[in-house]
Amino acid sequence: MSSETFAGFVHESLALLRCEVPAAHAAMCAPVAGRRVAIDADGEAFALRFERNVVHAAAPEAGPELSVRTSRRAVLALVDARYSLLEAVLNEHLDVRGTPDDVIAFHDALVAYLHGAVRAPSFPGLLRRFRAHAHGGMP
Amino acid sequence: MFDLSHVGGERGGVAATIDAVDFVRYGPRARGEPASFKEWQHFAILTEALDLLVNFSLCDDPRPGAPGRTLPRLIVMARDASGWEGDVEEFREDETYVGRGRTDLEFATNTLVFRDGHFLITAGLRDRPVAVRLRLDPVTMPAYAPSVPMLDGPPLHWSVVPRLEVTGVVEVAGRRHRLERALAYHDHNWGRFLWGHDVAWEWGFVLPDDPDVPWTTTFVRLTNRARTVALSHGMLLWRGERLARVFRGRDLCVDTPLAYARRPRPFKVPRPMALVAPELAIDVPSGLVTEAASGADRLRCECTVEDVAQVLIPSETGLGVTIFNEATARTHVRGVVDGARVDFTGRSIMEFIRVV
Repeated sequence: MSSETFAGFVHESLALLRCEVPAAHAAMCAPVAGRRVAIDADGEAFALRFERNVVHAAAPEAGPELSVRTSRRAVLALVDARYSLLEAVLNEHLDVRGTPDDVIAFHDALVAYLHGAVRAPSFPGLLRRFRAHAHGGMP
Repeated sequence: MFDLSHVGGERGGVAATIDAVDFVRYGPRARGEPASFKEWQHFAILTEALDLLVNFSLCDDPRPGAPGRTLPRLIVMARDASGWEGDVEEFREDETYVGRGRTDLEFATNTLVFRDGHFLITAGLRDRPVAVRLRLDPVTMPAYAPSVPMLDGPPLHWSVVPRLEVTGVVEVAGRRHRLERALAYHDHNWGRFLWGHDVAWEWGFVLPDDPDVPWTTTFVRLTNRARTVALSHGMLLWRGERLARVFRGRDLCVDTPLAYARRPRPFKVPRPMALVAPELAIDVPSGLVTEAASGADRLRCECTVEDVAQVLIPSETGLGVTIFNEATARTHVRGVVDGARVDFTGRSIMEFIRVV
């Protein structure tokens, strides 16, 4: 899948994570196993279904346990530490909806993903491509 | 701790001794040896208008799928009236040159070399507006502490030149700082361990406010991660060029106020790591008092923390983070050594390692 779309970027990153930092991938899947997450980034909608050590693409309209709304700009602001995850939620740059248990599980999964992201050798290159695409092709 | 007064040989002097002691150790890995070697050259500059940290490091990269055997990193952090700026940048092996057996490093366009008795540093971050061009002239003899014990592996080695005079230019976000014989500190560490091993340290130095003050001091306490066992504890005092006194182990006692250093939003680099270590609370005391006494000599070093920035490195033993808290401080040193009264104020940078 191309990383020209937000969904493509997410799927590519998950595949790299599984290959390069399997411990982080497993730690990400464990808390959200059995859940579906619908993601809307700048109006682009897609969904993920988590199992114990696998993530599948899912239909966005299939009644997810969690829904997440964000933007490329917000993702880059988080990566650049212009605000924290908590501030992103409070300032509505990141909107996460679900039951308290689902939201806590998503948080744990996201933190595990991030621990893998900062370790995976291929992620800096992936981030450069994401940043270039978010800036309209300019790095 | 070795007396190095003879090391420079017939040439003698500070520069020859640094040449003989303070050189790059990084080299080929023996067959079957784990990817755990680490080496870094650290420089800190303290002036009224600017604090600056520059760190060149070469570490084995133990990650599966890593692009090379070595992970060269450059840390540049500057603090001026506008706050902190800087970053941690990594380089590929094919844009790195390592002159082994001397101090000669090139990470892309960033260079560190010891030549003709001077350290020369040229560095400019790719993604942040910080650039430095510096010449550092060592004032004190180095000290060399080999074989500092570690719990999870072979010992750590440390050499230190605690006082240098620096001349050059530092540019931070368009602000230009000219340095003319400002005081600086340098040390060099190497050893075999992983971030995440059972180790922590609390370390610092004091450079006097008045450059005519002949005293310079450093102190270090290496512990287990829980900070319940001190593996090594020392305090060193130079008078002019010479190492005047070393206090060790039971000579020393450390105390802290019952308060933490508080920052509304600590500066963290590299920035993406702030996502996995977002904590606003800093496990750094608001001050540190080191007292040393041996025979008729005694020394008290009282540091009061002014500011803290964090360098965040992924642990290599699990999904944790090793936090290097870089604390700037105001310090008062007083005591009596060899019958001479020691009493001066100065600036310090202390480093507190924590693991989360």
